[in-house]
Amino acid sequence: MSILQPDFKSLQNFSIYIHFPVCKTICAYCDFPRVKFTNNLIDEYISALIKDIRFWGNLLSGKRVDTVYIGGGTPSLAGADLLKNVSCALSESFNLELLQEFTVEVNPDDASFQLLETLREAGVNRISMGIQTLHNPERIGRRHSGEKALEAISNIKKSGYTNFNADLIFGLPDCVENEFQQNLEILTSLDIPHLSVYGLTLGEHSYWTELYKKGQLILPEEESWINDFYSARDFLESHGYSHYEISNYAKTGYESRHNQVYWNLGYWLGLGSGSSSSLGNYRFTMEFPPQNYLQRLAMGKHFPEDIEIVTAKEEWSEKLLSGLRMTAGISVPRDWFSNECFRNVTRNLFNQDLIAIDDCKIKITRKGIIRSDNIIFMIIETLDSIFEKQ
Amino acid sequence: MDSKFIRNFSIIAHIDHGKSTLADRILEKTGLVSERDMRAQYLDRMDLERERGITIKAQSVRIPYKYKGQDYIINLIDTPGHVDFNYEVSKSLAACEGAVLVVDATQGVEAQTLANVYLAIDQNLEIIPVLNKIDLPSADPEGVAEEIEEIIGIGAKDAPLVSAKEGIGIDEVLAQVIERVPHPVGDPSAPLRALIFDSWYDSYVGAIALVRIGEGTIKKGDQILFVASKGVYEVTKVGVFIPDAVEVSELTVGDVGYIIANIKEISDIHVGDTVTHKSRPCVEPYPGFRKILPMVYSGLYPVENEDYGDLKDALEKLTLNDSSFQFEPETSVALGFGFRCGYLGLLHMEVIQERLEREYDLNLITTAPTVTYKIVMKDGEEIWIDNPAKLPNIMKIESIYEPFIKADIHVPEEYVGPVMKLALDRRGEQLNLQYHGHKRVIITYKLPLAEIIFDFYDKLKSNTRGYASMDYEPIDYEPSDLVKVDILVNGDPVDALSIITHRTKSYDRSFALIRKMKEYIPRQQYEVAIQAAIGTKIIARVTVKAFRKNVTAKCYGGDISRKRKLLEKQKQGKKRMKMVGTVEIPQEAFLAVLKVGDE
Repeated sequence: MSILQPDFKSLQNFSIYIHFPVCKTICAYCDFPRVKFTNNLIDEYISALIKDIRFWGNLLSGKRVDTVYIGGGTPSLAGADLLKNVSCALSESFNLELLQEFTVEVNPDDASFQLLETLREAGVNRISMGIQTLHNPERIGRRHSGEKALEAISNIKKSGYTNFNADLIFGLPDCVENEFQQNLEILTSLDIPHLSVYGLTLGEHSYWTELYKKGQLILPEEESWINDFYSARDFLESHGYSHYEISNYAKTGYESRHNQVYWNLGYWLGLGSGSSSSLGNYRFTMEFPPQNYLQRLAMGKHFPEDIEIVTAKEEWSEKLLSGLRMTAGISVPRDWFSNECFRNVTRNLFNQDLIAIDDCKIKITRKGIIRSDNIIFMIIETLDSIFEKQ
Repeated sequence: MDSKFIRNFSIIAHIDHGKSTLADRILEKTGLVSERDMRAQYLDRMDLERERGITIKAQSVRIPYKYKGQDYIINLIDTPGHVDFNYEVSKSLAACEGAVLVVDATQGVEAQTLANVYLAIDQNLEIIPVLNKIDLPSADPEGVAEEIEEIIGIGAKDAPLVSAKEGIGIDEVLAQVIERVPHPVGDPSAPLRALIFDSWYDSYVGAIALVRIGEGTIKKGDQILFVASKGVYEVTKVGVFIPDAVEVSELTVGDVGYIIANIKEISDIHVGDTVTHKSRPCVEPYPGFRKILPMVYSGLYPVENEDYGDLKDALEKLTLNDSSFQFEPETSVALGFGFRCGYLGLLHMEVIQERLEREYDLNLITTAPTVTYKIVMKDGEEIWIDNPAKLPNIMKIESIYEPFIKADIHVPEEYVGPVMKLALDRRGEQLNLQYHGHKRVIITYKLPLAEIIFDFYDKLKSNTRGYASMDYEPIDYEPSDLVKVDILVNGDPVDALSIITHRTKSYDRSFALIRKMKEYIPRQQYEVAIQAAIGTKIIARVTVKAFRKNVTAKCYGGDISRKRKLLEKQKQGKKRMKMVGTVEIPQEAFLAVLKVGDE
């Protein structure tokens, strides 16, 4: 595909995601775009990233940025000073006046008082931390201990953050009895306003995937997975959290604004190696591994080679597959209900109590949620028929 | 040209050992095809052949070549390279006096080569071994030459060292062909005697026969007789390939060329048949003619019922060029309208299926391959079935006959044990064991065809580290203790999945089959029971559990577009499934029986 100059004139406001694809240790379950840490790489990467920030700031000047999220990988590996530089570049290049949320992912091992303080001064107002489990997290390839995680939470609070998130994983192998339940109890007792609770998923390329294929890794039965999912939901709901997305729980008002931009298919610009952008009907992903991204920037090119333009049908496909993840559901055009195929599928799902329909709003029920991929797939399949008629 | 200056030869090689590349280099050397015009691998004309690295239809080329100041004609006759096409290979070889045996100097002698080498030796061809890929650092020409002498028993000390890829040693190969391959011998004025070794269909001129002239002369206007098929035609053109078709005034002793004679259908021309003059027939036709009949049958069904007409058209087109392929309409309760197709063997079946999907863009379900059974009913009636679903009520059957073959397995002495074990396991009966040389053994077996069509050849190779080779010919039908196993999906028998198997193996085979199917049938909204039954008795069962959980834990940013594309792919995958009752069964599950041996 030739290099396309996307046209962003109609764009009013958007969010920014910055990917920092570097880790010190590689978690056993992870298949995100990430590479192993080297000092040289970080310096080179950050300075290239800042150049890219300035280019895009110029291109989208004046347009309002609602949220910023720096994720990874392990952005906290860059350290306080470099992250501050990134933050400065952002505020110099973009219109952050009405910024609502600025999140940085911090590894518990890096969550020093000093780093958190610096970030807060640089405008960061939300921290997200991967805890995964408090019981011997080293066994899953994390570099922090359970104690370190608790210390990090206390540092976050001491540095004045009221909004922060902890990630937890259930369905891990080699759990001690009630491990997940205990994790939930401890974390809720610490008054953490937002929890992401993920069922373990082995991506295609993780270390554990290899072991699992060779039969050297035994995972809990499906039954126990389902049990953990629902017991987490019941427990957290009874402790004042609302379940607002398949894997996300928040106290009122602490739902992640940035992530809701994804699920509502708003506009976001992704910068950094491996990040993806969705700006109107343009979709593109920055090169991974970092060398490829750096190489392109070094040639003075700011657009990746492949820029996809999605059709209305493809856009709806994305809206459905992200929107139906939210417990609030998603509104669809009223005339879809007069399409026979759509009506049959949704009625069938409704009759099985897998979805609820309220006027034009569809949401997946409590019963349906653990099969949401199938439900979403079935609904998306009807788009062929809906868009054929149009 | 005087037949003294003609040389006819084939190239024998294992897949990937460089047969096509060597053929290309020879063509290049002789200036017939310039390097620039040359598509890689000129002889393999079909894309599919190129992709699979095998030659399916034989081609042949006439090459003018000057050697020591003398003009020669060298005819390079191509041969198909798989056990399914054994008969065609033997006829191609019968058109030659010599064969160049290409052996990869990094790999050594391999089984598939051996089958053809022994065919060539049986036909008294002069074998010229050639060591290829000598440019590779791992090449071991001395070791491989020794191996050739030891395993095949032919001298290889003077074997040309060649790199077909780099164009090294090609002259030496041609020199040896001229020096060592005997020239054709025959009387140009004797009654015509020509061997048909290939045929194909051309939409302008009809079916074309490729022949080698043994005796006599043929020219335009001659009235010719095909001895076995008894067809009589008037020759409208004779010609040669150099490498494009060029008409010539006549073909005579030693020549290799084509005959066009208003022959309507490919099935009128039989490989192995003898061409002679109607008014002055030859006394003795070429020996060993056999009408090629399909050995293996399977059902072909369109996934979408509305593609039936397109499938029929495509099958008709394929049979134009392939007389060993047959089809007729059939109906399946589970799959709807389709065709029962007959093939030479499994590879032939796969090639046909791939061509249908690729060239005709059809989405197909292939059912498990089967042989033809002869059923003798209690009332004495005899019927033939090529589809297990058509087996009559067992109460009315007196006996079931299955086809047997005689297989010659060539194997180095040290692998005799594994071969015997395999053959015994496949109900083989040993007829003979004979030493050839001091380390080489030929074991002759009588085997049920049904036991070898699936994976016998692959197993034979893997159990002998590739050193065994095999050729076989059908012998007769004999009664066997066979039963039909029905496969039930959620309680309903699926006719397209029935198999016929020996009673002593029915349990193991059924269980292996349904276990394999379980791997292919995706988990669905409901639990799916797969059962195997003989008559009304269920003999095995597996369950595909309903999916209870299917949820993506993380979906942020770029995951959304990635997931959309993934769903798009899944949708494509679903198109390859067939709804049977309420269960979606993917294409692979219908062929699970072929994968059973992989465990």
